[in-house]
Amino acid sequence: MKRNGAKPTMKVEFTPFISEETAMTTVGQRIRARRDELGWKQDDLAEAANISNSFLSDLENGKRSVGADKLLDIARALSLSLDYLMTGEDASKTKDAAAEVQIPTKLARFAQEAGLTFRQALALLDMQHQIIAHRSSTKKDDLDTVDWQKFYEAVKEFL
Amino acid sequence: MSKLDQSQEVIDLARKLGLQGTPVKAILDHCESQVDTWLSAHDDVCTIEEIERIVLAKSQMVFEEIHDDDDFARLKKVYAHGKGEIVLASMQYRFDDPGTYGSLVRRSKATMNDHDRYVAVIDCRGPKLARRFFTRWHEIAHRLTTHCDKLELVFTEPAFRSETDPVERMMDSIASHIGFYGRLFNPLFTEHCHEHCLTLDAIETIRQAYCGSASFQSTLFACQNRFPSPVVYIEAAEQLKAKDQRSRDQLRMFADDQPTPELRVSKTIRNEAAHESGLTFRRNMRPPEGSVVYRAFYGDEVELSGTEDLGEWTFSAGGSLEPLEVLIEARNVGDRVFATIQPAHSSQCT
Repeated sequence: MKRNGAKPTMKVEFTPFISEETAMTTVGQRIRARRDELGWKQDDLAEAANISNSFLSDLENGKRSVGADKLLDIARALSLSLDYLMTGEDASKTKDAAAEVQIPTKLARFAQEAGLTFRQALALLDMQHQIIAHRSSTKKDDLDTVDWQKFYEAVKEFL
Repeated sequence: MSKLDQSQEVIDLARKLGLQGTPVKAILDHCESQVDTWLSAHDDVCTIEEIERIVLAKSQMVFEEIHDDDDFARLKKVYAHGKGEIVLASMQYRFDDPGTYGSLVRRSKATMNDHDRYVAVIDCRGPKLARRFFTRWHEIAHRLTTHCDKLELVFTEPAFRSETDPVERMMDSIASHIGFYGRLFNPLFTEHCHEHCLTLDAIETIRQAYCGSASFQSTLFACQNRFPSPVVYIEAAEQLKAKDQRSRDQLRMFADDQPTPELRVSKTIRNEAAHESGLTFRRNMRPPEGSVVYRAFYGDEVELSGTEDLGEWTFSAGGSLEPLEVLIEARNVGDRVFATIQPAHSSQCT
């Protein structure tokens, strides 16, 4: 939350690059760090990557190695590049800056009350951004005054 | 320079488009030039509908009009189900707002070559149908400026704006300029408008000749913008004084204290010549009982015209407008009167 009277937002960081302070040396550690960053349990990642919990646990603790295909599944689930998982560096230096996604407070609150997943909340936000010009009878609008409830009701069958 | 020229949003828009000079004129010229370029390969174009078709094709934009609830269902089927553009399933609740006439959407799954990269949804239900023509050109104006391809990654301004927002007013100016495209409109304007007098009859004749689906009001504004002599457009309706409205809104009045709405000026738009000459009206002014505007609202005739002295128009706090003999043409449209006001000495209407 921001202070000083500024509009509060919840900031969720998608940070595909780990800073030097937390440089990881093994694949397992990088997987664990990213999973912690996302707030996922091992169950969540195992399900998303279609691997077993025990396999994931062994992997994170450095007790076993992993093939490229399984690593690719894990990378996709974590929204990380394969390069990064394997080496701790990413070849595409164009993504130097952390990609931050700011979720408006009202959306975050609604998502929590409605039990939406983060991906569903993000989908609503992305769709709202597709509307690039809209004249309304009220004053200049912003994301914190969108009726997220009505929006969600209109599109929930697709989410 | 007009107020719009001095607004930071319009100045910023001109700068982002890489334009120099007076912002409003530069933006209008930019849009006209773009349309001219597209039309240069179509010498035989002779209607504004044909021009719109070409502009839409070049802009990779389509319109979807809403005439009833079935159209919302169709949008959902074609776009949300058919093309994965889920946001278009949410249009119905967005158009509940009486002030929303259109919404421009960028498709997320379109390729760079798709003809419908942009979908403009236009509300044509009930009274909004009358603005269909102008709303379409308003959305095109957005596509040509705030969301032209070179600004797609740069323009991150809020998408939701009120009609008084400077960017929205700029879009209205563009719509009035290119929706009433010079090559087609100007000859009609010259043919039917007297050099010193803009009449409602002339506007209607031009409207029918240019495009029957254009509204009278949008045609009036297009004529007013081009007219070389001062013309002020006003609307008048029954309403409370601003401070009485605030008190009522705040529920600070008892039943027997409630003030009565009176006929007051609710909107005023000047052309460039009126701005330069200082001819002006203020919102909330009350037309005097002898005024053409007053008689048009409370009388039996739908249309009235006549000359009067602006010095008779007084302010409730004291004072009056500068004395000036003016010609007023007024039309009653039910809940309000609209009128054009021009200096009588320059009006030689026959």
